[in-house]
This record gives sequence, C-alpha cells and structure tokens, in this order.
Amino acid sequence: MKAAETLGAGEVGYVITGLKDVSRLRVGDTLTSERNPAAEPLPGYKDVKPMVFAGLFPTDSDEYPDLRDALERLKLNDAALFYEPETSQALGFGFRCGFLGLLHMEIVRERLEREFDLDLLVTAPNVAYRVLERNGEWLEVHNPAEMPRELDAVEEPYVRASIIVPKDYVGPVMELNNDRRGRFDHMEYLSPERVLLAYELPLAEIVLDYYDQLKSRTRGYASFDYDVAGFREGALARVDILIGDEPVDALSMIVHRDAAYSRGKALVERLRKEIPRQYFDVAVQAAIGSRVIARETVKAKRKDVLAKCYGGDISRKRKLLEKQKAGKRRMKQVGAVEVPQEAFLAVLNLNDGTKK
Amino acid sequence: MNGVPSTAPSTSVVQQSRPGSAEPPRPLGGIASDAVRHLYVHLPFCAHRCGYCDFVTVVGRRGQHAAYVDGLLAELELERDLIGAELETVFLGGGTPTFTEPGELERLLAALPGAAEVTVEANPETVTPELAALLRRNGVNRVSLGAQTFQPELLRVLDRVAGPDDVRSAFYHLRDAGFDNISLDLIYGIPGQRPSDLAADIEEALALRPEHLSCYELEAKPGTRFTHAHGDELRRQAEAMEGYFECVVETLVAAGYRWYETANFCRVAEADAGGRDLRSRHNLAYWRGRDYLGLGIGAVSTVRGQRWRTTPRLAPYLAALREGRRPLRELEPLADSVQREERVMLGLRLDEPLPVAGVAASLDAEAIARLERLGLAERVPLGERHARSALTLTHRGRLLGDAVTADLLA
Repeated sequence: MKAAETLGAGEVGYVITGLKDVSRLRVGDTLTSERNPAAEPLPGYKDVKPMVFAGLFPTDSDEYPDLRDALERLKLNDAALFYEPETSQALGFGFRCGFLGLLHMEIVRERLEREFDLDLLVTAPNVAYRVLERNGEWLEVHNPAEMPRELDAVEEPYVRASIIVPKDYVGPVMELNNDRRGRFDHMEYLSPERVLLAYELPLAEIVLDYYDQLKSRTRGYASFDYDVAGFREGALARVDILIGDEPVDALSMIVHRDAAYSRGKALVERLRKEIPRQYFDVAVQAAIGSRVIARETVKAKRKDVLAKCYGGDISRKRKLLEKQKAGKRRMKQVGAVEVPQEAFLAVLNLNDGTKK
Repeated sequence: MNGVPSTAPSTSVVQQSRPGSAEPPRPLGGIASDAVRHLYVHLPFCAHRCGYCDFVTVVGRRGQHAAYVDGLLAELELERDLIGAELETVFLGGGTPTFTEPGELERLLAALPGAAEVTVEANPETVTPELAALLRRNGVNRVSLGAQTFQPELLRVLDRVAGPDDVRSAFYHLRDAGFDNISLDLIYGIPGQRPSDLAADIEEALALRPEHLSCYELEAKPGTRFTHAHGDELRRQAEAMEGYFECVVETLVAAGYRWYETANFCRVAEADAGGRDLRSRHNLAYWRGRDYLGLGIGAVSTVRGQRWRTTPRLAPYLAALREGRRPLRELEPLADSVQREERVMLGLRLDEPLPVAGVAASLDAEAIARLERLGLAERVPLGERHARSALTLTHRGRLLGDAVTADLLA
C-alpha cells in the first residue's frame, strides 16, 4: 500500500478519520471534505429498509451487555442490520432487530451465535406495518405491541415471489399460496418438466414457516425467490393475549382477520397447557380490541401437599420445598398469575415455533 | 428479610427474634432443659418388601433379630447422655416392628426407657392375641395398624399380605388386649382405585371406631419397583386424586374427627370417653420442631441443630456397635435459617396456629398479605397477648399447603 492523493473507480484504499462511533457510517455514504463539501450525496445508493423484524433476547439475561456489544460490532460490517433496545415483560431485556429478509435474519442470528458465542432466543418474526392513525398520520410499526388499537387503515408489505417446481407439484404449491393469501400472477413452463409460478404474497405470510411448508409439499424440489413489491392495505387485526385479564404485550400479534380466530385459539390452547395451575382459575383469552375471540381456562389446583412427613422425611421434604420455591422464583408475574418463562418460550421462540 | 439475625426492634407484623428462640418453653421437670424427650426406634425386619415401600427394610434374616436388638440397646447406651430420665414419647417404626421375634421384641421393649406415649407400628397379619398381650404388658399404650385399604384387589396391588378380615381381627385383638388408642393407616390413590373404593375404605375404617387415622396419598417414589410398574397409571389418575384428598378430609371431619395434621386425624376430645387429646404426641413433636433421637439402621435424629442419619446397612451397623463404636452417620448441620424454614414447613401442617416469633425472619410479609387476600392463610392472635402474632392456613390453604408454604417463605 502506498499513500495516494485520489482514489478512482475500481481502486481500493482507506482513509483515516477522527470518527469515534463507527456505527454512524453506512455503506454507500458519501465522503466529502469539510473545506469544500458536496451539496448532495452521490446518487445511486438507497438506504436499505428492513422489512422483517424479530426480538433477539439472550437466553441468560446476564448476557444482555454481551449481546449489545455483539450487535454493535456486527453492524460495522452489516449496515443493513437495524436494532433498538426492547423490553419484554416475558423475556426481559433484548433488542428488536430489523432484517432485509429471512435469509438476512438467519445469517445475523448464526453469526451472533457463532462469532460471538451467544445463546439467543429469537422470537417469531413479524413484518413492518404502515398504519394510518385516526389523526391522519402514517406510522410505521415494527412490533405488534406498538400497533394502535384504534386506526383507520393498515398496510403490509407484499413480495413478488417466483417459485420453480417440477410440474407435478404445481397443485400443492398453488394450494399453499392460496392458504397464504397469495395472488396468482402467472405461470410459465421453463421446460416440459419445470414450471415457474409467479405470485404476490404478503411478506407476513412467508416469514414464519412458508419455506418449510414449500419444501415439504414439493419433496424439496421447489426453489423460491422473492423481492419486496411495496405496501398494500390489508384486513389486519391486532390480536391481544390476556392471561387472567392482563394483556401480555410480548404475545400480541397482527394477523389477517380471517386467520385471527384460528391463530388466537391455537395460541391460548398452547398457553393453557404451558401455564401451571394456580390457586384460582386463570382465563387465557385472545381478543381483538375488547372482543374476546378465544378463551381457555387453567383450572385452579385443588391439592398441592405431600401427605407424609415424619422425622425421617423432613430433610427430603425441605429440599422439595426449596425446589418448589426456586421454581416460583423463576416465574414471571403477569398480574396475579405466575407464568414460567418456558410458557412464553413455547409460544414465542422461533426454534420450536409450531405456529401456523 | 433474610436470615440475618437482628437485634433492632421491628415494627412489621412479623417480628425478628434471635435464632434458637423458636422453641416454646418446655415444661420444667428436674431434667436438663435440652434433654431429648422423643425416641424413635427403627425395626427394619419384614416378611417381604411391599412394592411401594421406600423405607429401610430387611427381609427375613430371622437369625439376626437378637443381634439387632443388641445393637439397638448398645446404641441407646452410647446416646444415653442426650436423653432425659423420663421420655415423653417412644415410637417403634419399621419395617414391621411386630414381625420381630416376639422374645426379642419383648427384650427391647423392657429395656427401653418408659414414656407417656409408647407407640408400635403393626402389620395386621402379625397381630395375634399373644402379640397384643406382649405389647400391652411391656408398656405399649398406642398401636398404629397398617390397614392401607380394605379392598382385596387393591391390597394385592400394594403387595400387602393381610386381607380385609386380617385388619378387622387385628383391630379386635388389640381392643381385647386393652388398647384404647389405636390408629389406622389408610392409603389412597392406589392404581385402579375408584372413588367408591375410597368411600368404602373410609366407611370400613370408621366402623372400627379407631381413635386415630393417618391417610396418605400413595407416593410413587422414584426407584421403587412400584413406580416402575404403575408410574404411568398414577400420572394418568393424578388429577382425579385431588378430589380424593378433599373427600378424605370432608368425610372424616363430618364423622367427628379432627384434621389436626395434613394427613392425620384423631377423634375429637369431646367424643372420647376420657376427653383425651388423641393426637399422636410423638409425631406432634416432629411437627413442632422438637429434638428427637432415632435408633437403628436408617434412623434419623435431630438434636440441637444437628441432624444425622444412621447407615441403612445392617452389617456395618451391627459390626460397629459390637465394637462399642457409633455406626456410620450422615451428618447434616441445620443452619438457623434452615431450622426456621422447617418450623414453618412443619408447623403449617398442623391445625394449631404457628407463632410468628422466632420464624419471622424467614417469612415474606408481602406473601402473607397476598395469601390472606386469596383466603389461604390467616394471621391470628396467639393467646390473648398479641393480635396477629401467629399464622395459620385456612381449610383450602391446607389442601394447597406445599405451594402456600413455598410462597410464605422469604
């Protein structure tokens, strides 16, 4: 390397600056001089907008600072990564991260775990929504919990998807896309055996398990590609989950109205199984606004006491009690209800998300 | 508040106090104030091992009964300094104490110090008129009879030898010998037990008019043959079992029994001809956190903040005592905070209020208030002196006692 006065197209070099906070630099920024500053940044670079959002939480809450440092460092060579601190009632401190798409999310997560040796919990992803508020202003929402309950319209991002499959699987793929609110665009025979299907799909419908479904319905033969097509209005609703009449922010979701009932029902059923029985009946409800669309009850327990306890049993009994006590300490308090972290994980964690 | 003893006066309802003051004053009686007044003697021999049992037992070995009694008496001599001249209670448990060779059993009973309450556990099939007389003439005044159930097919599930008629005849042999304080053990939650079986068991037990009843939910302890064979079935019926406990409590209370401890019932004093307090004094000592000395293999002692468990192995136990040495023990020192926790855990099993003084440092005042609101615990006056200076669980709180206790502890 040698010192140079200028750098031209195709050349690589470095500039030493007094910049302290590297995260303020993004790929595509225009470098100019203070004495003779450029009026406009160079054209051709677009600020990439994240479309898929998910909460990243350290499995061990002590690792929060490590996660923060890791994200900071990761962002140095991944300008598209967006993150902001998030506090969840259920999961504690973490970050809401924005990604360009599913692959990007997967890469970021892998890198955090591999390069920074973090143990992460990734919530089921959601997309960015544009909301027209009652006051006529547009708001961008990255987290279902931020979605206003009163609004005039919601727009969600759509993608143009191209799916290439052997012709025998066209039926199952169409079926899947119909289930996912897809709009058929066109179909093309690339060869007598291979077909290209072009669809428009809401991004929200592919972020969860679309790819897995596609693979399993085509025995792995499908290939899938998409790019973002813009925002469109949709009949979307914010579904809140209430445990013992207390809404749980972390569990709110934005879903298409047609799917609200089945999604809400599946979630409260799952929660009913995960929440241990308490001293009183606990209602687990899914609601749109003040309208309850699904309800399950965790029945109050009637007995919780070991029958026998004599001289020889006392130490054992005490250890059991200490275990019970420790278990209670790990519980998260939702109103008067004790909910184990695992219950939230079971419904939130992407790793074993069986949510449809 | 957590375990740190403090001399600063406390204004909260729960009061701080010096560790070790949890014990109410003992009656004065010319003996050292910290002398142990409760003796447990373990007689491990059994004709066979019941599948659900996880006690220290020894099957057969008739030839070793004499050596074992020698061992017990030698061990008693080694610990003589710990106990007072007069004991309050002696309890012979097992195993099957009444399976011990009668001559050896008699030798043991004759050599043990006297006590106001001497209880022996008995299996129905071992109780003959001769055995009842033997117990009687050797100072035993209370017998705990392991009936478990009166349903023949459920007795088989439990591997019990006795049939329903054995239970009844054993009971009458004891009555005939003059026993006026008999306890029956019942087990519920046996795999295959229907609600009607339980109702029938309680009815049969009540028909005998026992002074005392102990009712245990069958606990499938890990590692037992029983859990291996019936664990899945027990898990399946777990929810139905919750109702069984309620049924036991309600039926016995309605029949005039006092639910004085989670699993124990005694005929109310008013219903007893002599107006006696028929609670098990020995077991009350455990639940009130008194010191006790245990003799024999696997026996547990708790004396002056130390707990120890003697080796459960027969041969090393006997060998050590033959040489005049203490047998091997597993020692567990009990920190003040642990002692307080145990006082709470055990005390709340009783229907008598637990004095807060002495355990306050281990209680969570906020949890008490919460549990009061839920109708599970109550602060009550202790005697006439202090309002809200004792803690007790409500009926429902007692049914949920373990969870409530876990909440109450700081």
